[in-house]
Amino acid sequence: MIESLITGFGLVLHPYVLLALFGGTIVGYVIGAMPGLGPSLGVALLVPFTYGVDPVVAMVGLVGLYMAAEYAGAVTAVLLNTPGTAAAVATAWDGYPMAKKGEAGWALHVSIISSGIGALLSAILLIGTAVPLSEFALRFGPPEYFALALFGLSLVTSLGGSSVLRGLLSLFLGVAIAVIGMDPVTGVPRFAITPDFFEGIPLVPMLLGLYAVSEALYMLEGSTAKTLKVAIGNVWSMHLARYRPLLGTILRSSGIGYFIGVIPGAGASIASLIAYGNAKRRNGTNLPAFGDGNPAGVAASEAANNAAVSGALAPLLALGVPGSATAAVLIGALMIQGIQPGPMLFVNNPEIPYSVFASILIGTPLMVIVGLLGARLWVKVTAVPLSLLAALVIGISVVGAFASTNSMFPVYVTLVFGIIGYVLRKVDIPTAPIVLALVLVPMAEANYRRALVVADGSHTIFFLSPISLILLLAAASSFLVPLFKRYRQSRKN
Amino acid sequence: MSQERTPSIDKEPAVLVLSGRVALLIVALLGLCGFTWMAWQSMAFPAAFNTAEVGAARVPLIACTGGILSSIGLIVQAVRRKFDSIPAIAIRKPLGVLAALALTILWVWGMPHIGFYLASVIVVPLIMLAGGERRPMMLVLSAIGFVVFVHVCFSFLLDIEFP
Repeated sequence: MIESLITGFGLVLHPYVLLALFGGTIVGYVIGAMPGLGPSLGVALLVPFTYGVDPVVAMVGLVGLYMAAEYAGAVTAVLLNTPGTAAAVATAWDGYPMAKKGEAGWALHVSIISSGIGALLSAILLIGTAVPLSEFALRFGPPEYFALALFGLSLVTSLGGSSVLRGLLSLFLGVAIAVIGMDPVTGVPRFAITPDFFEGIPLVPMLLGLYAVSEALYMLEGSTAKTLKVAIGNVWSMHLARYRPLLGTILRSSGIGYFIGVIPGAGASIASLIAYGNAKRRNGTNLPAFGDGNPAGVAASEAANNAAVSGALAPLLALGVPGSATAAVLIGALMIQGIQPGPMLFVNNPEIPYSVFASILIGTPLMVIVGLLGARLWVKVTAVPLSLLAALVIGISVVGAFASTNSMFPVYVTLVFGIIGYVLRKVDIPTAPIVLALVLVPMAEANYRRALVVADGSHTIFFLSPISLILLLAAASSFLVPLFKRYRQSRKN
Repeated sequence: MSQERTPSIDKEPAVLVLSGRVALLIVALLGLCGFTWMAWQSMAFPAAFNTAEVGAARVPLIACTGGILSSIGLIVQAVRRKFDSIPAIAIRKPLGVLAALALTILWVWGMPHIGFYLASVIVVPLIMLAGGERRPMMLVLSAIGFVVFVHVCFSFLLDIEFP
């Protein structure tokens, strides 16, 4: 593993790869700082620029963007009380009160350093867990893969937002879309109204529609945030002693963030909220209170949401299962390069996971330096007119969809899914289950049918393997427990 | 469904307010029709070629059954719930959003007919105009900037040929 990691470092230190990492980080900061634009949209928009580029360069650039975008939401959360990303909501609760007290520089410093520590610690955890996990997953056969995909799909009850039924409708819509195209076993075309559909609905153009075009339509509705702007002060000169009381919070939150990030569907927003809650409980009655400008609140939220990035990459690299919506887009980017994520990735394309590990370790200090240097600049991106931004997002989506296969069919897919995404968001139906289904259903179906052929049609094969049985039980509990909790909550109310 | 326009003196944008219940009902009914059509189509797929195989229709039928049940559940929810428990849907600047959507469709339609670059030069400023941008210089520069950016990044660096 050490040798592969050294090779990964060698690859990332190549000037082109470093340039991609730097470029991804800058774009990530710009996108993350804009309220409403999250890392999933950023990665989806950058994917078209990676067509024809070396897969290592592409992945390093995209991971750099993912990390920087996840952090940059904190800048506007602290200075404008407008979280740039959903994961920075908890950062604003204490960051903005700190800024109003004249401690904006200290708040930014805490957010950037906590993010950096969270990202570095979680990268070490990622290296420590992803490699053994992928080696363990090499023992998986069709029943285990089917059970794993089912486990991923079962998380829809936690992704469903306000209503389980809406989440389920979205999931089954995703399953129905995923089965369009040639049947993986018999080759029979399913719902293919024209030959363009034989290959199925292309993933990246669909994600561009669901995330980018629908977001652009949302942007056209809104206006630029108008909140009290505060002076930043000195971001650089901070006494190390001020970090001593925060160190425990940062370490704990990094751990929480990583392990929440590993759970498919949980993501950085949930990680930051849980870490914030944990830090608040531990703070007791110490002053300042949480919500009144306690730097521990900023540290907890930021360490956790950046640690969740590495957490989300663990199941992606080791199992081929996305840990977040952004990770699903990354899977699409890998597939476009002809690379299949999962345990065989470490065998067939070891340069990809190891260069990702190296890029996080090298990219984190870069992210911290760029963050501190550009603190004043990132706030200014919120002044970009939304009409210009919307036109650019739609334009890049159209161009990116066309460039994916040099044909018009993906452009139509992007347009249709842009409209579907906008309508679904308006009626509060989550789009994340659709993406989850699109990635996991082909894996589930192919392995389900392969397993049945092996077992001569007997379904007992899924219960005979201990790994498969455990995964199926985990799937049943992860589906039913949130349902039961919701039922109990509604009975209480 | 109603459209409420605020007085022009306070310069607040127009807001189209739709009933959340009706919108949910429409989406659920569309889902029900779509899933039923897919289930009907799935029935026509060839049967499995041996007893160990489940055939091409199994997974689509599972998806359709789940989709039909979820749609019915949402229809029941929309009909039975108290009126105020489903929040209304507000669309700010509805004309701008609709115009941007129509322009995007026009853009996609126009790409193979008049060429990507010409279509972009026309549509990019129009989308910005629909979004409320009124500065002529900004509109012109954005259109030119976008076309140059796409040409450099995609045509020049990635060697992609647009229609």
